Amino acid sequence: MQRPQTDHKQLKLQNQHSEQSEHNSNNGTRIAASSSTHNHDMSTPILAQRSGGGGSSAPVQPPKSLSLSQNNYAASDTSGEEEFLDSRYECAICIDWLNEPVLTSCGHRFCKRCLTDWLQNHNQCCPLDNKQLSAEQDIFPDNYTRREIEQLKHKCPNSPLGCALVASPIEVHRHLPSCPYRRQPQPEQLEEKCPFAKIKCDFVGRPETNQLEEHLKSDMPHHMQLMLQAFQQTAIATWQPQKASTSTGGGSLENGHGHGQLAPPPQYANGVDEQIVQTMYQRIVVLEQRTREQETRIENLNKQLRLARQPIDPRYSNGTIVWNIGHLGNLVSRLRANANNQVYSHECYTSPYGYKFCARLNIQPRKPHVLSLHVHLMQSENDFHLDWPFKGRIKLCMVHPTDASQSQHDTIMTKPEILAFHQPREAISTRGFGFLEYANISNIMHLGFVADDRLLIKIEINLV
Amino acid sequence: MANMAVSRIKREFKEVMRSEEIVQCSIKIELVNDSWTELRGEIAGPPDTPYEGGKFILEIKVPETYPFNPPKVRFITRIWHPNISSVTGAICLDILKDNWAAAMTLRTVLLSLQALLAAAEPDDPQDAVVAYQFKDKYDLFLLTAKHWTNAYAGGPHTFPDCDSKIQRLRDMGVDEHDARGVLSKENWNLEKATECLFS
Repeated sequence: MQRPQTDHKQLKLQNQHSEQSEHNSNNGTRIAASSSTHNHDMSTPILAQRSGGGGSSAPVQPPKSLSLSQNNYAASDTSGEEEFLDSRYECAICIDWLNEPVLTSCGHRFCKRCLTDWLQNHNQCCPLDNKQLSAEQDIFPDNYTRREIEQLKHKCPNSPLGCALVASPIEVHRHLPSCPYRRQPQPEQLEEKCPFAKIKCDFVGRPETNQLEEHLKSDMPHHMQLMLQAFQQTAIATWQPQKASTSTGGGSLENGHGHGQLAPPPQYANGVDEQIVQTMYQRIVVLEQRTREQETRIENLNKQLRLARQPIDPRYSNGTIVWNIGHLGNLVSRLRANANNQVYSHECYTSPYGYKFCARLNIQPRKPHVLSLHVHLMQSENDFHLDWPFKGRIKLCMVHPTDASQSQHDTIMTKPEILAFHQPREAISTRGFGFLEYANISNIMHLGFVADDRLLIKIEINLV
Repeated sequence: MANMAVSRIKREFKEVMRSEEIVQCSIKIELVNDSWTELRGEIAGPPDTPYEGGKFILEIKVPETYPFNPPKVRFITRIWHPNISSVTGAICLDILKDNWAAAMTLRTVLLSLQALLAAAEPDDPQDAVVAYQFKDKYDLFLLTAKHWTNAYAGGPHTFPDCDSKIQRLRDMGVDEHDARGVLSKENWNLEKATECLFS
């Protein structure tokens, strides 16, 4: 077992040596002149292209760069499987060990199967140097190389797991799928985890790619955040309530610990208690945060509400009163109880410098089932420059909350002889104008004008 | 057969990842899906060419019959080059067609494309308009190629004149890429480009 390996090493050394002499111009100065090899690589494919473009030009020799790449390739092993894949024993088509090698008249070796497939699939030329090949005349079995490969002794890649097979690479290859020691679910593609996986970074990359490297570069802020979270977690986990430590500190004296010594860490009855305390603490932190958020929200809502509630300046109401009468049931019983009880709406101006009005509801003791509605002029700072008596049109509307067509409309035109439209002598003119019998209360209820114990009356006053 | 394609691509992938060019950031390759049939390549624009400083992304599709048939390669990054379609990114390169050889690898293909950027073949064009400009108005070709490299591949040279002409067309409601394409074809003559777009 030992000998064939040393043999092989020798072979390999010789091989490298011969390569050196062969490509002396390229490889001899490889380290110093890596750019020159680079240029060389680049120039060859152009040659290939020009030969194609020109059509009839003589076949050129591109494979120097190709064979160079194969040397690079073979120099460092790919996986455990092909430990010593030697460029001389490599098929350029499948880039694997030569299986039943054949030799072409132009001096290149391929697997028999690979070359046959190539010639059947493609034009009749060598994949390495484009020389014309005839399947009958230019291809010979290379039994010398076949024997060489057969004499190489390789261990099965599963040898660390206990497989004792030592055979030629081809046989090892054939043996692998049935190797009793093969890893059962063979991980076809290994996954590369992020080193931050411990703190819950769920990135997974392919080892052949540089995805991980890129991930580490680009996702740094994410990792910092994860680290902060992890730190907070441990801070919470290691947090210990102050009380517990003092109480056990007192207990430590009884246990015979001296004064100078630090109090031992708090002891809980069992791990479960400790866990509960930690969970509770975390919960408190979460709840406090939520409370703070809710408080801010409430404050914002309050602000909005305050803005919305600000009543419209009556000067700009354009002579319209939208009177939303709440708690109608209570109101009606209050109005019935005393004939002097009445309720006034908010005021309105017909225009910013116009007449000031309000409306009034009451119930006459003689007719307790009927609401009376009157409109009253009010004293205002504009009275001195306005024309008296007031001339205009007053529209009253009892709004039906669901069916607008049922709303009750009434229109009153003023008359100069009515005292209610003369300049008021009191804050609210004692005389009003309207309907003593505006609406029957039971009808209002019946016809559905009252929703949610509210009645809506809209009054529009316009100058004529 | 497909099995062979996959195992070869895996080996080639490792070859590229280990190659000198990747250390020099000159070429790059990465997987697009799990099946190893679609890859994404990246080549750096070669020095002393209008493409210098740009990074060009390539779409590489590996057929089931690989390596007996060539991979299908196309530029995703838009590029102004006689042998590459300025619209579709299709490449005219013989080794990707009739002169493919089974011994070629992803690495050699990427290097060949890099070489193609350095040495265009205007007599065997993919994009006739570009090839004509290359032969007839080489200075304009250089300017256009540098401008495209700047616009699409992150190249260093900016041409405010080109940008302002494109902006003029964009103000008329033309898509930026269409505007650049038409202006490039019309040798940056704004009037002709407008005529071409609106007639």
